[in-house]
Amino acid sequence: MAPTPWTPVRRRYLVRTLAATMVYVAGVVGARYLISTVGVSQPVAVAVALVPGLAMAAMFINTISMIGATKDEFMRMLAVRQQLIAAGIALAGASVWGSLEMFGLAPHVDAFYIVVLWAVGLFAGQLANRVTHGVWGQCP
Amino acid sequence: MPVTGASPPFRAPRSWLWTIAFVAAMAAMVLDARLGLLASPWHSLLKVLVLVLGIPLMVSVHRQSEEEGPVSPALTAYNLRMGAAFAACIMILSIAPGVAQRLPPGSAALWLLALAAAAPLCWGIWVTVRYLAQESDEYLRHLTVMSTLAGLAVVLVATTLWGFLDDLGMVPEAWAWWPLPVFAVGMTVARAWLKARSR
Repeated sequence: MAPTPWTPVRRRYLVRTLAATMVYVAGVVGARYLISTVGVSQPVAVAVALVPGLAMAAMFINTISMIGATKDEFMRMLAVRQQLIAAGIALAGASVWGSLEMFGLAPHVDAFYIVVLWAVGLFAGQLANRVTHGVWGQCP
Repeated sequence: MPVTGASPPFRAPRSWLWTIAFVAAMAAMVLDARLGLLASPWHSLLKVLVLVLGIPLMVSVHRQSEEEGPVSPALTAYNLRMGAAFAACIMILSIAPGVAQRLPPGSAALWLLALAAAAPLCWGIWVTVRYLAQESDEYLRHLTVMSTLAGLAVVLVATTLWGFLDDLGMVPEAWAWWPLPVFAVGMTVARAWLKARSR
């Protein structure tokens, strides 16, 4: 029988990531509508604005729990490596952009775009795993 | 009969106190840069204070590592390189705004200056990558990996919250490089917590 990448750990990780992403997107859209269009009061606005941040936290707790639940050491190493590469790309990108912005050479961007850089970094991490170790990082 | 095996009372490591002093001075420097609170020479003295506080901070962190057990050569090299990256970063960020005022807007020299300001930050990231590749002690590597991931989690949550509140005009704008100090603080706290938990 051919091995499947859809192990329980992988499936649980993907389902939870999808759920957290949906909450994140709904939080962004909902908060923007409630704050900008409806004009809710300040405490409600802050509470609503917290939703995307909490969704991001849930996404990360899910990642850490996936790494902990992965039994195969090699696959766990690949997952950690992918996260570290993503962290490096996100932080290096933020550093360079921040310096350019400080001297008026680049426009101001909202801080949450670092999440986009992190997501790009995750793909770069997978690619690096594929190139150097021959696997994308599917759980065994 | 004396009680045996009782754990000694908790004493905050000296490095924590230096970390708090350093972070407070850094925060004051950033606030001063944004709001122009201090006049000369206090403005420059605050920058010097940040630089000076960085020295006992790095020394206390290294001594604490030595007290907790033998320090691997990779960790010694990491502490030294990180210290150099920190010092370079603070020096460039202290000097660069003054130099930038004398340069024409959008000039190649200004671009070079901006990239030079980002270089020590990127070097610090590279130092961590090299350390993880060189560290042969599995426990120390695990500690660094987990604290790095925790630092990343703090950055992603903080930037999501701040960025969103900024987008809605509820908080002031922040320069894009601020995630790096947030990452350093998150990583340090997580490392201390992981060490305390493993005792």
